[in-house]
Formats: sequence, C-alpha cells, structure tokens
Amino acid sequence: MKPSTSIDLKVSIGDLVLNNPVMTASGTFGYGEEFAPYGDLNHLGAVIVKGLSLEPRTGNPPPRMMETPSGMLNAVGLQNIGVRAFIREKLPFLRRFDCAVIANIYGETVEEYERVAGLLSRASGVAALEVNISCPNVRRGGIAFGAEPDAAAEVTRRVKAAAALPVMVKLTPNVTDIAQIARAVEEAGADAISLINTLTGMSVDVEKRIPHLANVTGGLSGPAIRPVALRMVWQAVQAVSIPVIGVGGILNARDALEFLIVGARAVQVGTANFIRPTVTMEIIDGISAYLERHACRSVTQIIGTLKTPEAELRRGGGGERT
Amino acid sequence: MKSKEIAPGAVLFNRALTPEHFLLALSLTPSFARPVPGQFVMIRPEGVGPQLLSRPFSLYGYRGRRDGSRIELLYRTIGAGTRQLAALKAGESVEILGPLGRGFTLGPDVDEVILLAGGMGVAPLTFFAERLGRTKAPPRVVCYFGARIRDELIGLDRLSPLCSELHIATEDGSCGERGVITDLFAARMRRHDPRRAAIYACGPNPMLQTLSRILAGTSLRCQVSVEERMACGIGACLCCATAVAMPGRQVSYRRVCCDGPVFNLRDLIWDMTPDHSDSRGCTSP
Repeated sequence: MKPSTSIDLKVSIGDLVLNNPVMTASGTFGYGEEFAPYGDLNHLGAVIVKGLSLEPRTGNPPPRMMETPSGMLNAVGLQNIGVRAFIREKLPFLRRFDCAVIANIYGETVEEYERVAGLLSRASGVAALEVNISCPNVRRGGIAFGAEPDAAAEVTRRVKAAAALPVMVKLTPNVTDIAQIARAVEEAGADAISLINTLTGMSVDVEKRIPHLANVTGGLSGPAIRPVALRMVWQAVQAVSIPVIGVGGILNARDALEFLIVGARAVQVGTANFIRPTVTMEIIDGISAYLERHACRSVTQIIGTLKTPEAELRRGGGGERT
Repeated sequence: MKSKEIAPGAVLFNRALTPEHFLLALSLTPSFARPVPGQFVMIRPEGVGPQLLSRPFSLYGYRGRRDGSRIELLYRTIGAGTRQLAALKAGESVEILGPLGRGFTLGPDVDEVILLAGGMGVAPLTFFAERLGRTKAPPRVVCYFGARIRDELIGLDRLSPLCSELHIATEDGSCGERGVITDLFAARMRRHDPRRAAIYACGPNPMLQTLSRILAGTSLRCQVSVEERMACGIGACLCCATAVAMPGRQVSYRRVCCDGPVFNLRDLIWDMTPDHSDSRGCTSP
C-alpha cells in the first residue's frame, strides 16, 4: 500500500498523535464498519463516526439528498442510534483497529452535550471528541450553538469540563466572522477546531415547483465548497494557536495538500467517501508521494508553509514567526 | 480485511430503446459476485464529473463466466446523472460497486409468482423471472405490467416468454387495458390463492402505495423493491431513508441501500414517502 520510504506522516493534535493527517469526516463514514470491506481502516489517521446524541434520533423524512453542481445537498437530520447503542454495538468493532476513533457528539441542549461527552469518556476506545455545533439540518441545537461566539464558548467549556478526552470543536461556515468564533472556542478550552461543516443550501424541482429535499434546505458539501473551506481554514489558522483541522470538498491528495499548506494540522475527507469508498487510502498514498517528490521527510514540514507576498516580506524583513 | 472492491467495467453497448430509455451492457471482472435479483449496483463513468456521485440501478441481466461477467442495466434519463450515463459509448470505462443490498426471496411454499411492474420497475422483475425459470421446479409466473403509453412498456419482448400469463395496462389505452396496472390487478386479485402465491412488485412510489391499500384486507404476501436517491450505496450516508412501522406506532427509517432495496410491503409506511413519479430506474424501476 504505502510507498517504501521512511516518510513520517505522523501529526499531533494536542496530546493525540495520529498515524497520518487523514481523517474521515463525520456523517460520511457511518460507524466505520460500512467501509471495512473496501479497505484497511488501520491505514487511516482517524475515523470520525456519525454524530451521536444521547437518545437515538429518527432523522428527517426523505428525500434527504440531491446532487448539485460539484457537490451534494443533504438533510439527514442526524439520524443515529444513540450514544449508548454506539458504545455497546459499534465501538467494539472499531477498537480492533490502529486508527484513532473520534466520536462526533451532538445535543439539543448543553446538558445533552455534557452527558454524551461523559458517557464516551468512560467508554474505552475513544481517542477524542468532536463537538458538532454546526449541523444545519436540525431544529434545535447544532448550528444554534455554532453561530454565536458566546453559545459556542459555553458548549465548549461545559463539554471540556465533562470530558476526559481531547475536545475538537467543529465550526459552521454559516457565520459572518469565522475568526471570532474560532477564538471564542479556543478561549473556552478547545484542544482543536475543525472546519467547515456544510454550507446551507437549497435546490428546486422546477417542473413540480417543489424543493428537492423534504427538509426544504440542506447542507452543501463536496468540491463546490472547497475554496470557501480553504479560505476559512486559512483565516482560522491565523486567529488561533490550537490545531486546526481542514474539512470541505477534498477529493484527492492535491486538495488535502492545499489545506495542509495553509496551515491545517490534519484534514477530513467527507463527500468523496461516497464517490469512492477507498479514496482516503489513495489520499494518504498521494500525500506520501508528494512529500517524497518535494524531499520532505515529515508531513509537518509542509504544514503552514503557504508563500503569500506578506509572508515572504516578513521572512525577508528578518525574524520568522515562531 | 479487504473483501470488496470497486470493479472496473467496460461498456459493451449503451442502446437507446426510446429517446429517454436505455439498455446498458457492461463487461466486468470475475470478482463481481453473482447477484440475487433485486440487488443493485452503483455506477459512474470513470474519471471526474461533472456529476460526481454514482447512480444506483437494479440489475436487469447477468451472465457469469470464468473470465468475467456481463451485466445489463435498464434506465431512463431524468436528470444530469442519468444523462451523463446515456452519453457513455462502447469501450468506455465505468466504476461499479456491487452487487449491493438485499434481493428478492422465494418461500418454499410458493408455486405462483405474481410480478407487478410499473414502468422501469420491470427491470429487476424480469431478472427475477429469468432466474426463476432456471430453478428445478419453476413456479408459475403471472405478470402485470403497466406504463403510461405503449412505447414505455420497455423490455416487453424479453419479459413475455418468461411469463405463463401477461396482463398489460397503459394509462392512455394504447396497449392492453386502459388505466393503471394496480386497477387491473385488483380486478383479478381473487384468482390468486394467498396460500401458494406471492407478489413481487417494483415501480413508482404511488403505485406501491396503491398496492399497499389494495392488499390491506388480504393475506397475500408481497415484496417490493423501493427506489430512493442515494449517495454512497453502502449504508453510510443515510440519505436513502424509507419509513417503516415500529411497535407502538413508532416510525423508523431504514436504509434502502442495505436494509433493502427489497422490503415486505406491509412493513413500509407510505404517507411520509415522496412521490417519485419521475422514476428514473434507480434501485429498481
């Protein structure tokens, strides 16, 4: 599988060390088991599972998805089996693998976030939590917490206090100032941030004059959102000093490298998993090949190495940023 | 660990049966497992876009040989994805995932199989009838096939020799009875003995919903192949939800791709299901 070189792909997100910087985005990789027949999960940096709530959630009525130009809209509505069933039925399978298991958590209230975080902290086999304060497809919770710096900080603080695990907070792009939210979450104690979740969107069947989704609006993902995601990741990297994980429309190694170069410590691959179930493995190999070609021994040598005129000037003017 | 793969496929032909109905034949590697009728594949042209996601189609035909297999898909162009497929030419490559999902099953006490096909729903049912014909004691096959107009009775030539009886309805009366196929079936339903007959249906959701009303007071068994838009086809995206009844009047969603596409009709709830009257032939029709 991997090129026969000694390239070090390890990255650290706080105390969490990943074998490589490629994770699977929540909601696009099921509970991992769906993809195990297609490739070896041991090769992944981390598997982030479908968002978990305290109680099982039914999700939204169909139709839940529509393909749109260079992307897709979905309004699944966080259908999931609930955190207890996850620990009982899905986690034992994931424990068998070498990759980190990150549980994405969701609550309608701050108390629910706390309780889910507590239950997962006591379960063995979970390496970190990703706090979803950015789902656009549910009426309560989700984006309601992610769009306001104070609310985002409050959820972060309370989850951090309830959890015995590293906490990564997943941000929504549906805000005016991403840097402000990123800083609020960092100050509240987040160990890392991941962005972006989907952009809210809509699509209409003009013949029938009905929305393509039963939920009317949905979350847009796929390569259509990649430039927006990249810009926001770049802004977030400058705003905070905790690790930033880049997500949004990554289809191949080149796309992943864009995020790493602007400063993302790791990336998440989402919609691409639906197109090719083996895509994450191909991206990991592609990153290795790139590093070899650029004579880098470690992936950390390219993280945050974007050459902008401003950065060049700083460099020339003496004194690199430390 | 790895037990499944994306099978590379080559287009043998992609024949227009009408301006919007196509028969696509593909040659695949021997790694493609022998499908059960009712199962489907996810297919996309090799390479990138403009449409990125694969489209689900139930299998219409399969022939397995030691050096590779050949599958056939029947589809109708209704959107950008199916139009992209329609542009495929002989010799071009596709990526195939499958066979996927749960297909039709036949109880040991069934000696009369009733096929109820609406439009492109004929595809998996024709494949099923063909497979039944190769069993040691083939059941009697009675088929009800309906479409809007005569030209949309796609695949009639292949279907008719597989049936002991074939009843046809078109909405404009251009072939067979005038009206919808469920009316024709309802009028003849008493002739089928629930102890030995089983129904297999595939077609647009309004047809299946009507069928569910017709069968409500009977003990006739019925398996249906359901259609829903999908992103992944392997149970991860949770996009292809269909509502099923749970104890205590609760509703739950099942994944059409891996809990189906074949379900027992009595388990499904219809009043929350969208009207896919523009059935393109995905995961079944």
